Amino acid sequence: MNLFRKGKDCMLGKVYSAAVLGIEAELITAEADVKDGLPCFSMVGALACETREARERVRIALENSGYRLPVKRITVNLSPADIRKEGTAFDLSVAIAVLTAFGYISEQSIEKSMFLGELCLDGSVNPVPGVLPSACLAKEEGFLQMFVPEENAMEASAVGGFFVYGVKSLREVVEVLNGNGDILPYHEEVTPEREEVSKTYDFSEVQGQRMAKRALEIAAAGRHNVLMIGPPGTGKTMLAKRIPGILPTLNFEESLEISKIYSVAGRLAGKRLITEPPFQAPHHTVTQSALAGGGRRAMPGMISLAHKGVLFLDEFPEFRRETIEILRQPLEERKITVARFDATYEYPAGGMLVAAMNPCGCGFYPDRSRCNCSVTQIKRYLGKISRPLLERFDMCMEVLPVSFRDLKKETREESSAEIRKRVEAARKRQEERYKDTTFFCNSEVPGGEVKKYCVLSEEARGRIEEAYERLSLSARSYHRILKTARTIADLAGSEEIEETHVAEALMYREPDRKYWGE
Amino acid sequence: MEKTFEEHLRKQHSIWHAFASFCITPKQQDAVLTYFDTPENALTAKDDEWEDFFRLAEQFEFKETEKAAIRQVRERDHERAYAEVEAQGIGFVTMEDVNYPEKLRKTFSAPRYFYYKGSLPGERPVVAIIGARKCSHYGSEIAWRIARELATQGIGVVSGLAYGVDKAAHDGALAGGGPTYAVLGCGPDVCYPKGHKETYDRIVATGGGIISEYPPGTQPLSWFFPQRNRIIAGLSDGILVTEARKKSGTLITVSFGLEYGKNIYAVPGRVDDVLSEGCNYLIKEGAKSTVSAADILEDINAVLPGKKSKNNVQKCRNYEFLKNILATNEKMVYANLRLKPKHIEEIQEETGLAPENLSAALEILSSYGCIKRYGQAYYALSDETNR
Repeated sequence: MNLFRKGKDCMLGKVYSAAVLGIEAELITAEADVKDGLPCFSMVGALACETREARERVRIALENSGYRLPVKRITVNLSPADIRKEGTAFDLSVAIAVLTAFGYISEQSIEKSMFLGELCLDGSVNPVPGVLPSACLAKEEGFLQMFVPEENAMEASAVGGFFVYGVKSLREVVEVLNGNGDILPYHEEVTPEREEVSKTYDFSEVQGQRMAKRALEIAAAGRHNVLMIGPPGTGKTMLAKRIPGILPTLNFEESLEISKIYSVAGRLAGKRLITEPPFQAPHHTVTQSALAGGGRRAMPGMISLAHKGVLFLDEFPEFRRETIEILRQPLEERKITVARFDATYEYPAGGMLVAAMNPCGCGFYPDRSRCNCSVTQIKRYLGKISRPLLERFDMCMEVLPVSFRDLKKETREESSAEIRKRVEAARKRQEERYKDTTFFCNSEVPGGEVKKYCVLSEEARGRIEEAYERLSLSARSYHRILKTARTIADLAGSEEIEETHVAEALMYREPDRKYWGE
Repeated sequence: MEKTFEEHLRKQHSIWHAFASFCITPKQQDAVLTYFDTPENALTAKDDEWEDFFRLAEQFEFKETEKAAIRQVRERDHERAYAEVEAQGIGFVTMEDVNYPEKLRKTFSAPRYFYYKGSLPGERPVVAIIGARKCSHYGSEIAWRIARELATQGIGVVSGLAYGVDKAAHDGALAGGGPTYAVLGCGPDVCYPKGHKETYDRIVATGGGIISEYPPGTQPLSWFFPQRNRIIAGLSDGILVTEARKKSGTLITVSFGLEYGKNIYAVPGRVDDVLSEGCNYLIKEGAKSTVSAADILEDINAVLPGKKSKNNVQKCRNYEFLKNILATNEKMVYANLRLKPKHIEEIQEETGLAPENLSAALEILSSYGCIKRYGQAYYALSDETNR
């Protein structure tokens, strides 16, 4: 063991790791310096408390793995030192940096290598969140190998382009680096092909409800937010669960983007990339930060986990008002910004919002033979949802209770795959149309450009102008109807919006003020 | 002392108004009048006489707060208090007045006095239209139509300004341009429910009236409502129930009406509909089964048009006109709809139209005003085009 490689009292180890900010990773260097002096192990570099504790974990893990640390003064710096580091993923890189400084590992062997993992006192390696964004960074930076906890190997290897070692303990890492281990790089064919998870939830299992299915098809095609109103037991949840199955198949980039969010949230360990549009259904007691993201350590919320998929809010009026009000801005901007005192994180939030609610507290209004709510009670129930929030829904539909007759009837219903084909064709038209812009779907077209993209035929113009007068629509709902009509026209394969398309879109307009208890 | 009849009436009004301001239950009122004979005596009586009365009237449970309120009213200037009421544009009628409605006077539990805003029905025939507060579209729609039809024939409509059928009846009568009268369970200047302020104002503005037994400013209490029901029943020539449960305030009004010898009309409903149970029960018991205003008009001996009114002719032409321009899909949907709102899923199943075509047809039909949307997905034929 050569303790004097760099002169009598200058021993330095430099190892790469990554810190996750938002859903993107930043390159971090762990530098370990060993000098003569009073024996002590200190760590610097804007560390959170759990990160600073790496000191104890690393020292004990090293000793328990059989590496004796000579009596020296050890200083570890995580640079750049002005980025706040949180989490325990730096443990492994710190340990390797210390071992390099002491000469257990040669400097050449750790070139172009990235280390991520949390250490246990016995030297074993625990899984950590945020491996996928770090792997993307490693690929960008041209790294050759990456050491990650065994459970995270699958996600790290999804990016491709370098060797990924899934390790169980610190000892294994050292063995690989010194070329005397029998661990092979992780290897598995990751196909971005759609796994038929949605087989469990298929639209062919829903009998009848043709109008509701049609509405959801339109919503999926233009990624419009939908509000479903209906008595309990009408299949609102059943329908919502089947929406991901008719959303367009994710391509590799999209799949990677969503998987990154899941990785940061620590939900990807031991799993493949997310290839299915996600479905998130938070309970109505969900807190603001769980829904929107944030927390002491900034984490993506449910709204980001539903990116490119479906965020389903059942029992919509039961959600705390402040909780749902924070959805307003992200729904508009398709991303959410979480500000912390030391940094601002941005998470994507491009999912479609599907909300379900009962028309009144007991749920049976307008069936007065069962609903016994007073007019005031109904108003109060509906009043829980503010009008500005209501206006974020492009489409609103009412679901009919399924009768026993319908349940018994065995007609052939369209499968999700058949509906998905039409949705994908409609999305393709949209992509083509919006290829030079920053948006992708009809629902995202900004107010100022609606006129440009929603070209109306002569009759269609007459129809919507008549409706504008008759229903005294707001300018905002006028735009939303046009966007929905645009999607209907896309489904029909028509570049111009026809009269029937506008008429159908009008049907999904927001509830009348009277129904809304104003 | 010489007094003109007007002066006498004015004095009586101020005394009765003071008596009303005691805010005591009808039974307590009876007790006071039995003991003191006239309200005037009651007001001029000394404190010790009242003490004697309270001791004797123990079973009427006068509360301390009520006793204090009575004392306060006795001590105030009655003339001035009454002048304040007049200044608000509120009229006052006692049994002595000539404009006390004759129909009401004939009933045995007629109120001794009442306040009103606007005008009183006078000789005009009046029909009460009442029903459930929590009614279905059917109940309110029928109430609206019949009220409108009656109003166009010059018949007054009386109801209670409550949610549901009551409000629909008032609105229908207002749509027909006729006078309508609301009997309230609170002061005549208090609009309860608050949300019906628009209807309240229009009732006064269109020559109708707001009637109440309670002094201005009185807030509604639950036991006021059965009390005001007897006035609704008493004022009317006939009582129409459009939708009511079997046990409801509506049937209390009907039983008052029966005691007063009024005609009872009921709109039949489906046998399995709990909201129509009350109506169907009334029909079984001999109420007249009523499907249109004509059923009521023939009894009231009002001018019943043998032919359709001008308004109706206009409507039919409207439908004939529409028939020619509607597309096949739209005609099919129109034929499928009824007065009772139907959910789009049902319409889709029955017509077998593709969802996109159905939605378009429904929207186009509603743009012509021949059908109406309820809630988000229920459609019914609109009243504008009667077939």
